[in-house]
Amino acid sequence: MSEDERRHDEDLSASIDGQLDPRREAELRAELAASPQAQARMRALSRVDEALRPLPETPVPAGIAEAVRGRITDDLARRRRLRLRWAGGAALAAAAPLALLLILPRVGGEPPLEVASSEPGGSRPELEVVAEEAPAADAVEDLLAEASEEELAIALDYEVLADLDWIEDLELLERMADEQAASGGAEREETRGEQG
Amino acid sequence: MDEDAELMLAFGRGDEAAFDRLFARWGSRLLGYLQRMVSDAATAEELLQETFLRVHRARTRYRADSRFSTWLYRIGTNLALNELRRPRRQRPHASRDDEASPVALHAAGSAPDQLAQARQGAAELERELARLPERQRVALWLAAVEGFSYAEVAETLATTEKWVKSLVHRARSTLAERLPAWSGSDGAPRPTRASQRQGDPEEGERQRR
Repeated sequence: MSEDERRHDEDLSASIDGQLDPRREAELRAELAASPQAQARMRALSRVDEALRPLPETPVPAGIAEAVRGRITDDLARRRRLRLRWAGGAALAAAAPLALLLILPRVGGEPPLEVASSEPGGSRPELEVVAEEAPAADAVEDLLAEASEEELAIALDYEVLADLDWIEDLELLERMADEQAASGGAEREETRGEQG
Repeated sequence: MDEDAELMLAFGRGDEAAFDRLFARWGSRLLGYLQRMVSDAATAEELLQETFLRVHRARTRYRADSRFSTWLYRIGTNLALNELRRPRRQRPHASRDDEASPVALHAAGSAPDQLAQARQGAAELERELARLPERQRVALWLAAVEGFSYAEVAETLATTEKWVKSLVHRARSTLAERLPAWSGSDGAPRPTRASQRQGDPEEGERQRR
C-alpha cells in the first residue's frame, strides 16, 4: 500500500469515527460515490464496528462497590495514621539528620526498603520501623514540605495517574521535572518503536 | 459541563453520594473496558477498584477541564498498561474468564442456533481484540465503543491525535482482515459517530442496545 493509499485508508477509518473535518468528509463521500473499491473497503472497516458495538456490557459483580468502599476506608485510615505518626515524630525529625531512603523496585506488595542515615546511629531504627509500616512516608513528608506547589501538583497527579500507592521515592520530585522535560522525546521514541 | 464532571466536583466538595453515583454510572463500562485490556476478569475487577480508589484520593484536585470520562479512563488505562507490563503478572484470584466472560449469555432471547452463533462470533472477536497491540486495543475501544474523540484518546494515551488516528486505523484494519466472515449487516457505510459522542453513559448504553 502506498503512502497515499494508507492515508486514504486512515481517512476512511476516521470517517467511521466521525473525526474528519467537514471539508475532508465531503471529499471522501464524493470519492466513495465514485469508487466501488473504496465502498467495499469502507464496508469492510465498518463491519468491525458493527461487530464491536453489540458486545455485551460487563456487569459489576456483587460486592465490588462495597470492596471499593472498604479500600477507601482503609486508605483513609492509613493516611491518617501516617499523618499522626509524622506529627508525633516531628520533634525527633527536626533534631535528627535527614535520612535517605532508597526504594528498590517493587515486586508485588509493598516495596522493600533500604534505610540509611547520614549520621550513623542517628534515627535509623526509628525510620526502619516507619518504613516497614508506611513506605517512605516521613521522607516524603520532608520532601513535600520543601516542594513548590507546581512540584506538588505534578507529584500528586503522578500518584493518581500512575501505578504508585504512595509518592514513595525520595528522588521522585527530582525525576518528575526530568521526566516532564523528556516526555516529549520519550513519547516520540515509543511512537517510532510501535510503528516499527 | 457534563453531568459526571458536576458529580465529581460535588464529590470534591464532600458529597459522598456523588461518588456512589459515579461508580454506578461508570463501573460497568469501565470494567468491560479493563477486562478487554487485561483479558482477565479478576484482574479487571482489581483494577476497577484501584481506579476508583484513585478517583477518591484525587477528589479535591479534579478540575473539570476535560470530560470526567476522559480523566477516569486515563487513570484506568494507565493502571491497565502498568499491569500488562509487569514481568510476570500475579493474579490475586484464579481467572474467572469462563464464568465472567463478556461474551457469556449474550443475545439472550435469540433462537438457540443464533445464540450459539452470536457467542462464537463474539468469542472470536474478543480473542482477536486481545491479540492487538495494547495501545491499538485501547485506541480502537475508546474511539469505536466508548465514543471518545481522537483528541480524548490522545489525552488518555498521552500522545497525539495524528498517532491516535493511525492506531485506530491499524487496529480496525487488522480486525477487518482477521475476521473476514463478519457480516450481519447490509454492508452499508454507517453514519458517523459524532452524534453518539459527548458521553452520557446511559445514552451510550441505549445506543448499544
